[in-house]
Amino acid sequence: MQLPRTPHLTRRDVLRFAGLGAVGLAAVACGGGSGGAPASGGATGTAAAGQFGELAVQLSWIKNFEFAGEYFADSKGYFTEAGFSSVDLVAGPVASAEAQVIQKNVHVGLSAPDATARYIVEQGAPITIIGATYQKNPFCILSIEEGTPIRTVGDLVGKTLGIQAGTNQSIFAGLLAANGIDPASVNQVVVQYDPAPLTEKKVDGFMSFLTNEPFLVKHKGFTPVTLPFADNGLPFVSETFVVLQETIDTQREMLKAFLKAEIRGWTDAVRDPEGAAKLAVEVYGKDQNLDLASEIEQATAQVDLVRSPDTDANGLFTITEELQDRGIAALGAIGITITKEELFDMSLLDEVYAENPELKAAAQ
Amino acid sequence: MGGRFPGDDGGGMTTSDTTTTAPETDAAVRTVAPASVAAAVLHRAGRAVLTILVAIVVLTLLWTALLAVFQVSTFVGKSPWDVWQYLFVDQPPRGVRPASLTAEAARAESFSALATTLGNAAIGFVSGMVAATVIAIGMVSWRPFEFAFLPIAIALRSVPLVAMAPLLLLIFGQGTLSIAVIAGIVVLFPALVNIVVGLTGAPQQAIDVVRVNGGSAARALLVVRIPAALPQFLASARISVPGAIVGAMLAEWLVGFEGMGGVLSYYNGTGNYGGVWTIVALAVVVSIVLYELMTIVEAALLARWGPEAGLAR
Repeated sequence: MQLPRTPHLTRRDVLRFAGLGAVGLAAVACGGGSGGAPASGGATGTAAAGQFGELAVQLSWIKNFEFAGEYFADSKGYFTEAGFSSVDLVAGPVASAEAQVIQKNVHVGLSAPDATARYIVEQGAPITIIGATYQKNPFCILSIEEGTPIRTVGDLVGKTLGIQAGTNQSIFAGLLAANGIDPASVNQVVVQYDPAPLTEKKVDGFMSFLTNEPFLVKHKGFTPVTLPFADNGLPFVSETFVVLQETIDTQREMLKAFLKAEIRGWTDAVRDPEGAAKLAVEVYGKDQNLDLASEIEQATAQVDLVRSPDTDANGLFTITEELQDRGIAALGAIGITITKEELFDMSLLDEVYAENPELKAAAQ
Repeated sequence: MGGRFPGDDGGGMTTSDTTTTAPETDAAVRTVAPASVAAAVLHRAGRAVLTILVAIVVLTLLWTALLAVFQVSTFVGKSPWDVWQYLFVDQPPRGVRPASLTAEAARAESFSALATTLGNAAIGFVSGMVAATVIAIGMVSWRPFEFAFLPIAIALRSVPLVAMAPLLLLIFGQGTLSIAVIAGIVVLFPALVNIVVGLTGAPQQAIDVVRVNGGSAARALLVVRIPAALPQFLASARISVPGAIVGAMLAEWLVGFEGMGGVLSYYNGTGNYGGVWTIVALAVVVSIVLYELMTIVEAALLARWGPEAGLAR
């Protein structure tokens, strides 16, 4: 068994952790094992306390409802029970979660398969995907009825679109490629996480999650119009767990423990969207000034992305062969040639479910 | 180079030359100037070439050493040789350049980004220098102007641009105007302070000469203060060149996906670190070269019109 290894932390990480860690520890201390968690105690098996040391996870966005499973796993102590001494949930968005993983600033990064595939194919990055939180591609171009509604991909031409710099840029490039739209025919500008530029009519469209910004603009009194990527050539899973191949080779048990804790956390999140929203608003995303009613709505909508007939049959985070094939074919269509084996390694998750069959049925 | 403005004697003499505009003296300056200007330019150009070469060698060594000392992973940390391969080698090792990007395309992308940034930097440079000059003249001529503008200038300087930028983008829109404003702000403050020093440092005797001859404050400004501030003006122009490039890149990074600042986000997002280092190297080399070019321009202008123009070197 490997000794726990912390990733190479920079000074900034240490400082940040000094702040965030205190919150995390307090949350763990208060959490306890409330509720009838289906897979507590025995399921975690032989994990010795703190055996795997500190875990660092790069989130793909600000700390809102989107990481409900991580909040539950942290606050209810699932990570601790799985053998981690503490968990650093690093808030995004960052230019690229893949880069954080490759530089060993984090153990696991949350990203999307199209972005990860580009890293592997274009740069030869030794990374792979070991599970997916979202069974459906949540990305969309959000516009508003009161401005310039964008209903079809053809409507994109000639519009000003707000895209977040970094990973989202390459995902959006995929949408254009999949639909044969010349990138020069749309005007891309940089936006942050706040959809204000859309409601201020500075941009016609805003790249967002179906489950997030559409609700935010609705709460501001606008009528959201969405153009889902999933229906327009990009049928990918999303919020995927990206890790280094090296971590799989040398710390396989650590990653399995991570998946185990995540499954338990997301099981809670699927069952209790309201509690998920509360964790986001009151604990983890406290400094984001999130609106509880809106977060509950979004966390509820999110359940449909996380849970599907496939996950009911195979367990959360699984990616069926069919979904993998569809993703690979779609990637091929936008010029990214990659095999299933290069992009996905589902063997860790398979082992977790084989060793803990009770986890599989938990989220149903 | 040492003093802020020339000694009373020298400065007083040259400026009174200009004010009295005695035909013989003027002619004397003109006849002396061309030779000494050419000499100054040649001298300065030689030093500039040497400085550029030394800077590139030193930076290359430092760059290589830093990568080694901090053990930056080869995926993220690219060496000078990697950057060379990124731009000019057809089949670089994996990870140096994205597999689907040819050397030709990489060059086209990088150099067109450079051209865009230079255009934006020029806009920022000119707007920053013009604003600084106008405000400096306002401050020197009319005291309340200083009280009105200095706090604004200091605020612009002390609030981090990155924090202020979203507001600027909302006010000026996500376009060239915002880039000009952001790059201009980077240039403005150092130039303003320098030019004010130059204008207020004009020799008092020369100003008195204008006054006793019935000249107004405006006349003194025109014939004494502004010429006396030429060294400071040129020095601020010189130090503003790299500032304008950095400012333009910052603005591009904040505003959109074009120019060197803009493509950096895409390169970062897709893990194209060869591209990232190439852009950084281009920005540094271009800044050094333009800075040195400005020193030559400065030497030429000072040799012709500076306080020590016509004096034996």
